[in-house]
Amino acid sequence: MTSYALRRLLIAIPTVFLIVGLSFVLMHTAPGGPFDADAALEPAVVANLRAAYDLDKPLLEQFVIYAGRAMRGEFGPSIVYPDRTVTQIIATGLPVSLRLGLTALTLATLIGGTLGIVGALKRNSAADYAVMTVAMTGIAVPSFVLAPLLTLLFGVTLRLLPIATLEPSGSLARTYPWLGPYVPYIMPVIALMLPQVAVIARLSRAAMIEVLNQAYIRTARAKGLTENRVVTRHALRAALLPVVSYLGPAVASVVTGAVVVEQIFQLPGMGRFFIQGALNRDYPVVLGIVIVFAGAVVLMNLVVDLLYGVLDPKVRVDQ
Amino acid sequence: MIARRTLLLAGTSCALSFAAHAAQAKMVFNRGTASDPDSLDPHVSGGNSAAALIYDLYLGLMTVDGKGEIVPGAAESHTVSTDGLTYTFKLRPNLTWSDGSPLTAEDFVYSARRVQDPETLARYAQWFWSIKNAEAVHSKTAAAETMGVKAVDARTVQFTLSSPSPVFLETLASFQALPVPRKVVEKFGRAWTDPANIVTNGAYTLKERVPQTRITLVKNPKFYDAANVKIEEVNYFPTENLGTVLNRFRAKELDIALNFPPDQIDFIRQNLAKELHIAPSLGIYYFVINNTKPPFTDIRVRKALSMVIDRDGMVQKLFNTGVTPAYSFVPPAVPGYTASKASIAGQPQAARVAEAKKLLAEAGFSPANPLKFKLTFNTLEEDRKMAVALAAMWRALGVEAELVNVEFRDLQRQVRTGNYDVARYAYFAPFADAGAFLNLLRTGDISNVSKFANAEFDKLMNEANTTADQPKRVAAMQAAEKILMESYAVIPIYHYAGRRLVHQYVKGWTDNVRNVNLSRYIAVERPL
Repeated sequence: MTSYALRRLLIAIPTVFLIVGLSFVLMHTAPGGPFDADAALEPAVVANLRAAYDLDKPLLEQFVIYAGRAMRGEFGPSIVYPDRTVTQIIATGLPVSLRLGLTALTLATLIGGTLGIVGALKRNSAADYAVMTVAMTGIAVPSFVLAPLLTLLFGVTLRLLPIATLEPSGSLARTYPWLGPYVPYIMPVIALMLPQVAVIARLSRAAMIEVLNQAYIRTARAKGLTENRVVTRHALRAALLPVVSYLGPAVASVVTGAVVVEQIFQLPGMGRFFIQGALNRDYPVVLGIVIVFAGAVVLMNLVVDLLYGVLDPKVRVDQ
Repeated sequence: MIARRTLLLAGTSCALSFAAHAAQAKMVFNRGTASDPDSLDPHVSGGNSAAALIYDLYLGLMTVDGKGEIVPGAAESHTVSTDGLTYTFKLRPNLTWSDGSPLTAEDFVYSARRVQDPETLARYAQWFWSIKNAEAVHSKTAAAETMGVKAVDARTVQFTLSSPSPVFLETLASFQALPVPRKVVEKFGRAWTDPANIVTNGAYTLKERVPQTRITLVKNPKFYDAANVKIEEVNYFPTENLGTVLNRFRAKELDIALNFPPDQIDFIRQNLAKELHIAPSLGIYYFVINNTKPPFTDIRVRKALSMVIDRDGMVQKLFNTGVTPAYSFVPPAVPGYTASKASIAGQPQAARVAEAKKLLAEAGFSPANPLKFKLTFNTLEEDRKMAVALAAMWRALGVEAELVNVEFRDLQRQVRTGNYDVARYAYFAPFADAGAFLNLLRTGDISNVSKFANAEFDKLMNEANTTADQPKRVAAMQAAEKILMESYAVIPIYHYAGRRLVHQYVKGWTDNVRNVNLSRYIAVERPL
C-alpha cells in the first residue's frame, strides 16, 4: 500500500505541473492585464511596472522563470497587493478556508449520512419524505440565496450573530464570551453545509437502498442477525462508498475556498483571494492558489482510493 | 440550577458593564471601505479604498480639512514666486515621526525623489512631472539629485517647477505626495508597512492588519495636533459585497458605509433617510466614441447619437441614486468653475429626436441602410441596464446597436487599444479641478481613448495648464469645453454622486466633493 501511495504521488507531480502550465497560459490569454485599471497610466509608468514583474518578456520565458522560482518555493509578490507575497496570502487564507470547509463537510457528512440512512431504512414513510424534502430544498436553494437570508434574520433583525467579521460581535458572543472565536463561523458553516447535507443525504439514501437489496444482506438476515447489526456491520460500509468518492473532490474544493460564502460573509479565505486575483489579473496569486488546489485534489483522490480499499475488500490494492 | 442561573446573570451583567466601560474609555470608529487596500505605502498604492486609510496614517505638506478643502498640513505656511515656478514650504516646528525621530525637510525631499525612482513602482509618478527634471528622473535619464526639490534648511522645503502648474498644491495634498520614513523603508524593503515596522507621521499609526478583514489604526500621540484628535481607534473593514455592506451598517457593525446596492435606494430612502448622505462627486459616467473610425468621423452621426438620449428621464426612472444628468464634461461639483454645456441642453426631447433623425438621414443612413455598430460595456447590472436603455433610444432613430458585454479589464484594454465603436467609460478625477477632466481629451493624451483631435482645444488647454492667472485659466478651459461639447466627441450621461450611509451618532462628518473624510476630524458618540 505504501509503494502504491508513493507511485501515485510521483505521478501527481507531472499532473500538477501540467495544470499549472495550462492555468498560466489561460491566465495570460485572458483579455486585459493587471494594469488595465480605472485610471490610464503613462506609457513609461506601465512599461516600468511590466518590466518589474517580467511581463515584458515572451510568455515561454515568463513561464520558465515562474516554474523555476515555484520549484524553489518562491511564488513572488502579488501584483495587486504589493505589500504581500503569494505565500503570505495563502498562509492567511488557507487556515480560514480549512476551518470553514472541514467543519461544514464534517457536519454535512454526519447529518446528511444519518438522514439518508434513516430515509433508506424507512423507505416511503413520512420520515423518508421529510428527509427528501429537506434534501431537495437544500439542492434547490443555493448559498447565495441562503446566506443573505441568514444574515438578515440572525444578524440584522435578531442581532444574535456577527454579519461579516471575524470579531466576536452580536448578542450571542456577549452572553457567552467563550463562544467568541466560533461565533463568526456559525452562519457561514450553515450556508456552506446545507447544500452538502442535501447531496450526501441523497447519495447515502440511494446507496443504502441498493445495498439492502443485495444477496449478502439477505444472507445476513437469514443468519438471524438483528436488523441493527445487519445495517451497521454489513450494509453501512458498502453504502458509504459513493459518499466517500463524492467527499474526496468536495473536500478539495470546499477547503480551497468556498467562493460565494466567503464573499458574502467577507471571510478572508482562499476563495476570496482566488476570485479577486482572477478579476484583477493578479497572475502570481491565481497560480499560487491553483497549485494548492491541484495538490489538494490529487491528494484527496489518493485518500479516497486508499479508503476504498479499507471499505471494500474487492478493490484492495497490492494483495 | 438557581446557582447556575445567577452565575450566568452575573456573567452577562459583567460582560455588559465591561462593554459599557470600554465604550466610555475608548472612542472607536468602524469604517466600511470598498476593497482591501492594495498597499499602505502611499507611493505604491493605486488609491481608491486605500486613500482614506493612508490619509489617516500620514500628513503631507498640504492636507484636506474636515470640509474637504486643501489646507496646510505639515507645512505651516508656503510662498509661491511671482512666476509661479518656485514653491517654498515652511514646516511646523518640532514635527516628529511616530517613533519620536524628528521629521525634517529632508524627509520630504527623499519622498519626492522616491516617487520618481522607477524601482518604487509608483503608479502616479506623472502627477508630479511639473517638477523640474522629475520625468527625466523617472525615465533614468537624469540623476535623482537634479530634481527640482531641495531642503533649504531643516524646516524649509523648496520645489522648482519647469512650468507653472495651477494644480500643484492639489497634487501635494494627494496621497502620493505623503512623506515616508527613509530609515524604515531602507531597512525593511517591501515589508516596511508591516505593523511591526511601520512608522507614520499622521494622526494615526498602524496597529494591526488582517488581510481582507480588518485594519486597525490607533491614535499617534506624537501627532502635532493630537490634542484635537478624539477617536482613539479606527477600524477599516473592507467589504466588497454591497448587500453585506448594507446589512453590516444596519447591524451597526459599521458606523459609516461608502456604498450600498443601488437597487435598495427606495428602501434606504424610507428606512434610513437620516443616515443617507448623497453628495455630488468628481466623477463622470460617459460613453466614448471611436472618433477615428467611420462613420463616427462624421460629427452628424456623433451628435445624433448623443442628442437623442433622454438623460433627465433615465436618471429619474432608472438611476435614481443621486446622480445628475450630464450635458457638460466637467461636473458641476468642481469648485470655481462653471461648466460649458452642450447646446442640446434644455431642448425638448421631441425636437431633439426629430433633429437627430434629420442628421442621420443627411449622413446617409436610412431604414434600408441603417447605422450599425457595437456598444461595449462591462459586466455589471447597472451598466447592462444603461446599455439596454441607450440601444432602445437609438432604435427609435433606426440605429442597430449590438450589445457586447465584456469583463472590466477586457473593456479597458479594448478601449485603450482603439478596438471598439462605442463603449461605456467612467472617470473620477484625483483633483477638484476642471483641468483634470478636460486634459483627458487633448490630442495624444493617454486617456484620450476617443481619439478626439482639435488644435484649438489643445491650444486652449495648453494655455490653461501653464498659466498662473486663475480667471484667465478658467476662461480658457470654458472655451475648450465649449469646443469639446459642440464636437460631440464623447457622450456624457451623468455626473456621479457619492452614496454614503452615516449613522447619526457619527459627529463631524461633512460630505465633500473629494469624498475624503479624515478620522481626525470626526467623533463617535455611540449610544450605550
